[in-house]
Amino acid sequence: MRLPIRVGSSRHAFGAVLAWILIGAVHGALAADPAKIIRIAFPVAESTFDPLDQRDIYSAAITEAVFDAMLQYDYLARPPKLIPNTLEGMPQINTEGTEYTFRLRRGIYFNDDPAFNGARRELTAQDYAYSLRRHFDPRWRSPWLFQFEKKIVGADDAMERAKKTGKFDYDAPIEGIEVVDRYTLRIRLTQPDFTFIYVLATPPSAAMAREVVERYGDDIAAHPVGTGPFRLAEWKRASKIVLEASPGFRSLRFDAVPGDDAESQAIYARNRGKLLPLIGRIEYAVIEESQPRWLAFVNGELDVLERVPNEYINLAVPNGSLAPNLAKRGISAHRGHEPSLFFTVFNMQDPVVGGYTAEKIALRRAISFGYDRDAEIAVIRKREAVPAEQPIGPGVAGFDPAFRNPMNGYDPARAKALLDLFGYIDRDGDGYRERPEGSPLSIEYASTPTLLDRQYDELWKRSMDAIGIRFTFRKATWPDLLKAGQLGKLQMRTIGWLANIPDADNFLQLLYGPNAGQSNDSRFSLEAYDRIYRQAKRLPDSPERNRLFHELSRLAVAYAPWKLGIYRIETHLAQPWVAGYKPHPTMRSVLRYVDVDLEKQRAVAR
Amino acid sequence: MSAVIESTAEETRHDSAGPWRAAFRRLRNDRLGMVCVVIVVAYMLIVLASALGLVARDWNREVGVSYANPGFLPHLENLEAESSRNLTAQSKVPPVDLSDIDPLAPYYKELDERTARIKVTEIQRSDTLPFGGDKWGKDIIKKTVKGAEISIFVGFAAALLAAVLGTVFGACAGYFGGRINDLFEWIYNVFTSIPYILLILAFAAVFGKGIVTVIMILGITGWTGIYRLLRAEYLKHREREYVRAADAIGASDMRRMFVQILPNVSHVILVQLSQHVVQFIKAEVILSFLGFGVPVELVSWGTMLAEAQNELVIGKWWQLAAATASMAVLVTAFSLFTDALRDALDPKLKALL
Repeated sequence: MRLPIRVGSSRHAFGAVLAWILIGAVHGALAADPAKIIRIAFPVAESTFDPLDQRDIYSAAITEAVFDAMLQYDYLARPPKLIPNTLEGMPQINTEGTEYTFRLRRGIYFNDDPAFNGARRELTAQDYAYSLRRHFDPRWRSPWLFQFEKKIVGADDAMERAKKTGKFDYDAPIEGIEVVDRYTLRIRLTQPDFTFIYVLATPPSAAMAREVVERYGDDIAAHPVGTGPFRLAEWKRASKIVLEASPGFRSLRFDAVPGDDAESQAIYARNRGKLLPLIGRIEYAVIEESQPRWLAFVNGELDVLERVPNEYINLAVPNGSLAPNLAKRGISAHRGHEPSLFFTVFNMQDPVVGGYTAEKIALRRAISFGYDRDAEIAVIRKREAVPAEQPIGPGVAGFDPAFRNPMNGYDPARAKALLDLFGYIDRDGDGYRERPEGSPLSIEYASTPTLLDRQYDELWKRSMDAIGIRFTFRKATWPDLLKAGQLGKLQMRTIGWLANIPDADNFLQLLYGPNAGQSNDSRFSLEAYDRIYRQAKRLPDSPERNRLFHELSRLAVAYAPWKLGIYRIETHLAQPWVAGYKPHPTMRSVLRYVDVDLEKQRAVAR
Repeated sequence: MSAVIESTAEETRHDSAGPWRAAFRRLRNDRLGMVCVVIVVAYMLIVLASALGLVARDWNREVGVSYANPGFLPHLENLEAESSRNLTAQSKVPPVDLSDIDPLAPYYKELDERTARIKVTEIQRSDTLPFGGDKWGKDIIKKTVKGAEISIFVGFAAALLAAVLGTVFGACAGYFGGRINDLFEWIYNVFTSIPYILLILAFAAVFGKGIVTVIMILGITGWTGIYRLLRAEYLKHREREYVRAADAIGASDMRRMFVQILPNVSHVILVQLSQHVVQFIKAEVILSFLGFGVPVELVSWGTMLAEAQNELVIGKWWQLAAATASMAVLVTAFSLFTDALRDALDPKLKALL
């Protein structure tokens, strides 16, 4: 067990103050008001602060706030639109679409850290090059390698060399990652890839300083040092994370392209031109159970409640509109589909549920038909969800609203027929079926020991009992499940994937064979699928690519490496004093754009 | 034994069964104690009936709508049930054709035929249940009865295990003394130096899940109190004359420990046993509440309370009420019964009668 870690010794606090005075003198502006605090809750514990390693939206929210990728999304533009972040402008792309040139803004500095020996450390093109190279270093076992692998000229060779020598050489040149000068980076791709530019807006592409990574080594996950608007101020593992506005943050003013809706127009009118970040502090509390999370918000102890727990949806937004008592208090509701997909993963390498033969497919399909998803939607999710039809989340390029899945409904009779037909029958009369060759059939489903998961466990158990499949449960914490799932050690598990890129590719790569061990938790590997996927990868968003995506969806449905679950409807609530809050489909943390109306807060307190 | 009970009152005064009989008489005169006995016996009968499948056998069936109202409050607003009605209508779009790539395509026809032959019965769900329903529409009364079975069974079994462990260890330590005593004292110190809940959670993490696990955990962590008392009793008794007399006529250690001394300290065990039943019923509730308790296919008062923590906020109080009330009544009755039992069995009180 680790002790709580406090970042920044007194010496560096002094350095920070000095830097703050200097910045203040140069820009004539003050850092964000430390009295403006946003308190927010995570339903699960953070898993890491290393942007390379984060795989859950909670760790992503932290790393997005602390680190800077070269690109980011416009806060208000819908559909999501890329804008430069630490760049002077959008990258120049050559006519073939294989060469990207990025020019960095000057005068962007990292937050102070002992690794910099007291000097101010400027962000350079070298830092982005280093962060990209880290994904190819086998030591870090990057879960996001699939976003870069076989795309950048020469990078895969560097990885192969590192595997042979046991050490990745960060100083050896890589043709595809060229540092032209201190502020210019050039990336060369092996072939045109139209989603690659989006990858450069995700946390795994954010700049990290080499000195910091080398100083902390394997402990880098606990030492986030970035150039972003916030820095880690206080941290109690799995309990509390406090971010404070970076004192040396570059002068960045609120700008966005608002849509036609009144909400984003109002946000734009209110905050445009103000220095970012608008708030001085973010306090994340890890509150696993939904009741205390809900009550904390209702009692004003949380400023924003992201993803209202389903149990309380009828208290928050009965029949889809904000409850009158909350509306009277000035609380605002933000509702809509996120580009997310919930699905149950079968481990395709498992001797019982895995495999590509008819009998294995039949078993997975029977489990899919047998699971009472209607009850999940009605009773557990209280209709804050709709059935998922394809292995792609809604609202992204390449999503096909007309795709209807023939293997999708709740149909216990068909489940039984499938099992009977393929020899999964009850031979010893105990009410549970055996495998075709006669050995017992028992499936282990992994979930966390929370109340929320117990509801799903109950539903799975009931559904599987009804079709005669013995179900057992394995309990572990969320970060442990995440790791075990990645290593292929779980038989069955339900996960949600929230797109970090507004493109269907972001979902379909989850089933691409070579991504096993990274994002492909089911370890699905089908030659036909991989071939079509590679083909689609070379195409821009077009009817031709959609046709290939349609094929991929069909293959995924036919071989059933997943039980397709639901598309979630999200409801977020914000207190009246939270100004300018608008959830973004692909940004995990929008708090750098959010303000606190202190007067209103005081008025409500009175 | 039966001969002793049938003997005359005159003889009884000199008979070894006398103290037990006197104790029973004292207990019977304790009116509160007797009420508690009746309550505890009633619970036991319900548990027995439930274990034999006479009642609440179908507790797991979903007979009502989600959070069905209690029968005496039929007109409460039930938004939760509303939202489960009229699920989104099926899309009119024809499903995608998979037959060219689906390895199961050759079986489509046979599957359709087999599916048509399998009957699926639609459950009729009622809007109200006698004492309301839970999230899935299960009857709360049946659930409470079934929960009682598990909770009380776990409480008794674990208390029995703890009593056996505590008695054997205490007897050995107190009777033999010396090295053996040191050994058991050391184990005792290790177990009591760790905070109780932490110890339980540590064992829970090692053992995994299941009813037997819960009993083992509670028994293994809960024997220390009984051990301490029994050790003291044995220390006291081993020097008594009747034990020395037994020694003189050549009784073995085992005989002296468990045939001579044990009946004379058994009232301590009995009282401890009943106290621990209460304690373990509560501990099971805590374990289940924390997610370490009974597996998902079973129900206990602990899991009911765990579910209820979310329900109270949305105004569904019946599950909480049923579980807490039945647990509170049993625990109170059992505690008072234990008190009465101690009063009745304590030989020092004899002089007062």
